[in-house]
Amino acid sequence: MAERRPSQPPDDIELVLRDLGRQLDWPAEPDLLPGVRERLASAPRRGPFVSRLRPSTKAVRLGWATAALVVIVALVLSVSDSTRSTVADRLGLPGVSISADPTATLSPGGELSIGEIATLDDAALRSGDGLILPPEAVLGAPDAIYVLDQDGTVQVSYVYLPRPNLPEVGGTGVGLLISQFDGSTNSSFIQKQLGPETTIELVEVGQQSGFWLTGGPHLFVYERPDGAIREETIRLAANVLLWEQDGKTLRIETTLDRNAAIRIAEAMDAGR
Amino acid sequence: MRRYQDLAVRTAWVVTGSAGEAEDAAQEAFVKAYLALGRFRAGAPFRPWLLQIVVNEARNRRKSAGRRANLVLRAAAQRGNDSEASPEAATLAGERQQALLEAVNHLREEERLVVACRYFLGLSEAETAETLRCPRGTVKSRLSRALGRLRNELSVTLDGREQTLAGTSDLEQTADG
Repeated sequence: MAERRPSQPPDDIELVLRDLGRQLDWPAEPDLLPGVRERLASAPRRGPFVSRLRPSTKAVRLGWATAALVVIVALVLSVSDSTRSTVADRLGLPGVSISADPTATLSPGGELSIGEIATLDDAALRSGDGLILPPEAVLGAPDAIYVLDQDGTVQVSYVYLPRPNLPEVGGTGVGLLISQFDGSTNSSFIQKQLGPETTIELVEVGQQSGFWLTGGPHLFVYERPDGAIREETIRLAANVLLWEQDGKTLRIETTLDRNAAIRIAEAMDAGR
Repeated sequence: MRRYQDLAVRTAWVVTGSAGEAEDAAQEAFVKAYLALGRFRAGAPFRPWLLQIVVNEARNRRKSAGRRANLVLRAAAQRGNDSEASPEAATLAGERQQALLEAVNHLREEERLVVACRYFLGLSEAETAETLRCPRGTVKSRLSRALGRLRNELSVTLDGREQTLAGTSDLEQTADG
């Protein structure tokens, strides 16, 4: 049998190519997010809604209605009479008359400082590595979705308006708030910031450990994936269920009791 | 987004060969992807959809620059990076990789991109097809042709280098003697 000469290319050139791929002078991984944000901010004001504009699509009409509501409310709240025409021009709406509407209200949850309103696709893109969905079969679709990008951590929140099975939380106009963000918690972290009136109970959510906080907790402490310790404010001053799922920390804020909150938590779906 | 940014930049880099242009193309691709989210089919794989936009952006930049991408090895790889190997073996390994990369750089553009997607970026055949906007059959045939060319070119190049090395070695022995 003829011996293979040393210079002969290997039979499995695919393996050699894979190895070559590891030796390439790849560019260092950059942080693209600030640049993308800047470009989006300076891009013509057309968002995901625009490309969905098909009059026959119910979701599109809903998206436009939501977008229109946000724009109108933002204008009503932030624009003085003298500058309204200028703003309308800059929005590409010359000749549109904008007047104050005292009955206008914010989008559901808009006063909770939980970021910008977003579509589900937008939230999935910005959260990057997996979005855990609330159980539609149990709760119905959320009334609004928000994305908050802060200190390099993306938090996605689902807001539910009050309804018979979701009583309003103390004058907030919100029945239930579910949030997810990168990070982890443990009881020593959490206990550090709890006031004497707050109780903490260790619970089980599926196969995971979780924490049930009652008595008006105001904030809790968690550890980000990079090891930084951060405080997170409780938005509704309600009962809070905290647990970890698929590398995320999830939080439910509600007036529901512990078992009801756990049932919702156990139905969350890491499907996106 | 952070989950995909490294892959997006690498994909743009195999098209442009420039780190700066790759970053710019990837950034613009994320912006376009965001604005085009409404056209993304629910349930479709997200990664190749994004990379398709990345490749398009990178191609536009390369065309504007009017040059061909030329991929390069890390300095350590050029020297040979097997610490347990003898210096000669390490040099030979480094030269072999350099020769293979040169052969890849000499491939036709469409073949080079298929090779890069499959072996350098680790995409599946289906992902490669969607990223490059061509049928899977085309990916298969381009890959087959590319591997054939690489085997041939590598064999010729390494034979030539080995003969050169052998000649140098004979001269050294003569001089020693």
